[in-house]
Amino acid sequence: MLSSFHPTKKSLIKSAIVLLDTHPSSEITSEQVLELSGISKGSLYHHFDDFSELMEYALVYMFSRYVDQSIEAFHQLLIVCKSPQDFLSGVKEITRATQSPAMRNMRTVRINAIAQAITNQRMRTLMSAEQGRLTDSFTDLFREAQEKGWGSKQIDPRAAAVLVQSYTIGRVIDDFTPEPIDMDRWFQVVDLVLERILCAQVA
Amino acid sequence: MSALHPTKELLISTAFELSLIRPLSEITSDLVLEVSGISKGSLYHHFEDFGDLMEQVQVRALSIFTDSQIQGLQELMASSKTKAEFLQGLRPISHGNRSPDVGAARLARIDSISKALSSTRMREMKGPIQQRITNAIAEIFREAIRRGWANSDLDPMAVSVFLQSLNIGSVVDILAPTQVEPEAWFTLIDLILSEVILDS
Repeated sequence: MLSSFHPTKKSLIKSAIVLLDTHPSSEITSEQVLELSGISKGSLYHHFDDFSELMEYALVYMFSRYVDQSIEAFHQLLIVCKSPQDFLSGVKEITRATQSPAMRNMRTVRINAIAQAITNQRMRTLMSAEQGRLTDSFTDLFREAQEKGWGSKQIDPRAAAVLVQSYTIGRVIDDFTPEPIDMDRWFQVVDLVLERILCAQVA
Repeated sequence: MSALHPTKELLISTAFELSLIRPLSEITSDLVLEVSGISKGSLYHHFEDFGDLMEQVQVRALSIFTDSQIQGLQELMASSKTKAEFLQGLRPISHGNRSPDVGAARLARIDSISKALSSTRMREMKGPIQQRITNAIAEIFREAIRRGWANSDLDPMAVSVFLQSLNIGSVVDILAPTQVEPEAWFTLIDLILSEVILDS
């Protein structure tokens, strides 16, 4: 996790993430990151082998920081909910947030980062560890929901963890077609999967 | 496809066939020229650069993949006499074979999608091909609804994108250090098919 890094390293990654919000990664220079963070060139090369490595961290952590927000929202949901009905409607709400139009840019960044990691072993190792942590977190949350009687006990928690992440990122196949699908009809499918498959049956 | 100049077609098909047996990183312009027997000058007459040729190879791969998927679905629809047969036939398609080979193919597909998202030119070439497969899968579900085998409350286009998204999105599992048990994944997908998508 980002929070476990040295403050200087963290600050460099965060500055690169800020720039990634408005620039394609190929256009971001080390000068821009140094200026924004106020950190010296020497420090950058103390914490990273090269500038590319810093950008790899930024691409990986930009995404996982976003997913961590969903994980935190699920965690809060498990604390505040009183009934399976509460839980189901809370999960539907989080799903809408993670698939909002703003998420479209995040999907693009993520897919581009995965594509880059296919041929870049250093980045792949970094991404693999982060992906493992995210899937583990979702798995634990689902198991906790099962224990409270809100998550379906028929489902393997890790399969559930991969499922929700899969349809969230996999929607990217609809991002470059001439006629994208209707969002309300998309949520109708997702809601039914949540109601009938992942969550405990609500009478 | 058939409208291409024969030299251009030979370069694309040679590189495409090489891509089936070698990792993309090993396919060089020298190799493609050697196998095809075409001169360097001709390559740069038909393509801006080697990257341009390899982009068109990706488009070709997507198109061939799409055609085979569509054909498989149409055969399934034609041969299914009952809902149970239809569900049985959908399984292998929606499970997504989880062998390492398919893992590599899925990563290649991610690379292809990444380029479609990042370049207008690639989007214009790949968008309509992706649309074709989304429409074809939707058409299968429309027919299944007509036959009373699928959930008529759901939008066939949304079902089509949902099932494809599970397949593409499971790249998150390929990336992780440990994977879901295949049986657990198949059980979950089967439940989604039988309790959500085909529940009429």
